[in-house]
Amino acid sequence: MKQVKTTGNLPMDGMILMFVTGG
Amino acid sequence: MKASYYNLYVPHKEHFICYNTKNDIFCLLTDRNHDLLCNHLPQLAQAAPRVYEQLVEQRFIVDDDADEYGELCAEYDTAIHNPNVYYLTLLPSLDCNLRCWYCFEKHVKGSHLTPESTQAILAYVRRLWDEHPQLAHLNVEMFGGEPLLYFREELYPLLAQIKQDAEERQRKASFFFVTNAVCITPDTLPLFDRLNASFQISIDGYKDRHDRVKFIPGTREGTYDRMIETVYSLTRNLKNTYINLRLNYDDETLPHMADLIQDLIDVDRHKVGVHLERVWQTGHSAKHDNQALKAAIDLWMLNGFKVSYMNLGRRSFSCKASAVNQAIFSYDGTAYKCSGRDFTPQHCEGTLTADGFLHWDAGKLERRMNIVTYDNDLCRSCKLMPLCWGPCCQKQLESPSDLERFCQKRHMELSMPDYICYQFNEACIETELRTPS
Repeated sequence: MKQVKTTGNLPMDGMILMFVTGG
Repeated sequence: MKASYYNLYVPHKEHFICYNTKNDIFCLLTDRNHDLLCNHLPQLAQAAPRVYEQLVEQRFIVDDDADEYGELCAEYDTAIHNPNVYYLTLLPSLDCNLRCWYCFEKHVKGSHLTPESTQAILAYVRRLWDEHPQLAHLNVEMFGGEPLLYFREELYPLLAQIKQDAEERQRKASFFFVTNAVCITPDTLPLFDRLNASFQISIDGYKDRHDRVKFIPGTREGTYDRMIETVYSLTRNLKNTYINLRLNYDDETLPHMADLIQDLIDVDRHKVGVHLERVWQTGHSAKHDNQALKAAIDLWMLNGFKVSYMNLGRRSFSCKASAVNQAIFSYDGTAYKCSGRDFTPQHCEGTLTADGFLHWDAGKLERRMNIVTYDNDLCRSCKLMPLCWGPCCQKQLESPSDLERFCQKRHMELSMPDYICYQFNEACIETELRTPS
C-alpha cells in the first residue's frame, strides 16, 4: 500500500509569463 | 490601458503571483514586471512586449474605459434569470439514521415520500419541461434529513422517471446526493450508476473522532469503516461519479489529517475531492493564521487531492436561492427557497399542489428576490466580489443591517496571501488532473 507523502514540493515551490487557469 | 481592478498580488520568492478574480486566472510575474504592471504600465509594453500582450489577452490589463463592475452586475443578472437551468432540491425525508451533535435540522421521525407527493413532483417537472422550451438542464439535489433512507423503494423510482422524462424530451437531468453514505450498499450501486449520480459525503475526521460523531444510535456502532469502503466502492463501480468529501473539522481533527489520507490513499483523485468546513459551533477566533489548517490543506494537495476551502470559487451568484429557477420540495409538498435553515413552517415559502402546481408566498418570495446580494457598501468595492457575491439572501433577509458579520474575509482562517497561494497550487493540481495521462 502507498504511504502518505508528508514532504515534497507543491506545484508553486519549484517555479520565470506563466498562466494557470482556475476551475 | 490600466491594470484590472480585480488583480490581487502575492509575493512568492523573487516573483509575484497575480490572481485576477474576475477571470479566474493566475499568472506568475517577475518582481520587475510586477512593479511595471502596478506602477509604470507603458514601460512594461516597451520592456517586455510579449508579456504585455499576454496580460492584455488574459485581461490582467484592460482598456481605460472598461467597466468591469458593470460587467459583473450584468453577469449576476443573467445568471439569476438563466432560463436554461433549474435547480430542484428534494427532501425525501426529514428523518435520519444518525444524530450528529451539530446538525441543525429538526428531524421528523418516519417521514418519507408518499405516492401523492411523488406524483406531484413528477407533474411539476413535466410542466417545467413542457412550458419552458429553453430549459436544458435540471439539477436535482437530494438533501434532508438523510435522503437515502427509502432509496430503493421510493426515491429511485421517482428519479429514474425524472431521468426518463428528460431524455424523452432530449433534455438533461443530473442527480446529486448529500448523504452520510450509510445506506449506500452494494445492491444500490447499479441504481446510482444508472443515474450518473454524484455525492457529497461528510466525514468528521479520523476514525476515532468520526465514530464518536457518526454512530448508529441503537448500537453505537461507528460508521467510519463503512464510509471509507463506500467511497472506494462508488469510485470503482460508477463510471461518471464525483464525490465531494466534506470534512467537518475543528482544532482537534486538523493534526490527524494524515490518518484519514492514509485510508484514502488509493482512491481515484479524478473522482474524489475534499472540502474543508469548520464545525461552526467550534468557532475559531477568526485569526487569519491557522497554521494547522494550512498544513492540513497542504498535506491533502501534496497527496494529489483537489481541496476546497471557503465558498470562494468563481461563480455568478452568491447562492442558488437567489435564482428564479430554483425550489426545494419536501416529502409532504411544502416548498422552500433556502436549504441552510431547518425545514419548519417558519421557513416554508410555498406549497406544491397534488397536480403539480407550485404556489409561492408572493410576499416572502418578493422580499427575497429583491435582494441583490453584492449591492451594498461592503461588497461593491471588494476585489473578491466575483468569487463571493456577498452574504446570501437568507442572511440578508434576517440581518439586513449587519452584513459585515457574514463577510467571508472575516471568517477565513488563512491570511489572504496564504489563501491565494493555496488556490494557485490547487489550480495547478486541477490542471494536471484534467490533462489526459
